[in-house]
Amino acid sequence: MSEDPAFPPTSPAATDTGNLLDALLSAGPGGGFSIDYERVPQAIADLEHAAEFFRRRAEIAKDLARVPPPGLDGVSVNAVVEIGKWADDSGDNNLATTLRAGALQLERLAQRLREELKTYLHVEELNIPKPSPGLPL
Amino acid sequence: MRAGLPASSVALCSVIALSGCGTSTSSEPTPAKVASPIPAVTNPRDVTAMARRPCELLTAQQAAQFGLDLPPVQRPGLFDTLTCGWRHTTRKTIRTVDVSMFTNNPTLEVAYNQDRNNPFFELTEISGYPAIVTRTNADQAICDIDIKVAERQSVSLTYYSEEFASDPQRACVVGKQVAAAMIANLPPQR
Repeated sequence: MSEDPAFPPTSPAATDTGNLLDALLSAGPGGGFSIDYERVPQAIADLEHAAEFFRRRAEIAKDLARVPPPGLDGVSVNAVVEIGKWADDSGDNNLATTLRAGALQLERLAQRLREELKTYLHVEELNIPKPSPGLPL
Repeated sequence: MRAGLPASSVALCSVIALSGCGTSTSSEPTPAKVASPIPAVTNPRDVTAMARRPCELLTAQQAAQFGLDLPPVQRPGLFDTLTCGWRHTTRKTIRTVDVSMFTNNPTLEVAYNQDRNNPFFELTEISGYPAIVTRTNADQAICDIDIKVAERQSVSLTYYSEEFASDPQRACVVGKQVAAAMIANLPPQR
């Protein structure tokens, strides 16, 4: 199994079996932790909701970089250049890239949990609930 | 900005730059118009007809052909616009398409000035319409495509696919195919 930085192996068993949830659930009381797998579907829903939130904001940031200055004065022209640079340019720190990267990480995490939970429960499909009400995103 | 404005005005203008500062007067010289590098559109399409239903820019069949099997999600965008996102997610790969539209914005003209220093920048045509294709990150298979389908009307999409991680430029090859399908779904302008 290739190692995913989001899921470092917690024990030799995790590396051997590739089953993340097995490894986490079998972690001993001497220092490990456990997951209440009944709550994993809700976690998946919330992670996907957060990923969608970030994707949406990334698109808005990208579109913001497409807006022309409303006037010909230097402040307006320069402000648009600066806003465009921060919103979406080739630098690592621009908003759109940062939000996209965050969305992808969350989506990968959710997907990994989906697959592992299906394996753990021996089911083909999961019943994923709606995102938790009142999420700040 | 004219000299002599109080500091508070300068600060205010910095904050509200997007709504303009109103310092231009009729007595000020107007910059000479420069010829646009973006070619004119000869066969305009009507973005306004689809602006409130962006998820119809791809039919379900077309989305499936591009490997986007999850139901599209409509979202609010910039300035009360609507955007749409399609995706496909499996253990092996994530693939996404996000699209937005402008009905009154010189999108390509701005993109031409803004994005020419990106790792990849191409002024091209897609289905006969002027398009700017860019990648902001040389290592990621993310491709941004802006298409001018009529004067001040544009479609912008972002294509991403993890499966092209070893050859990120391929995101633009497929992205252009998605763009062409979207253009075909826009009605002609009357």
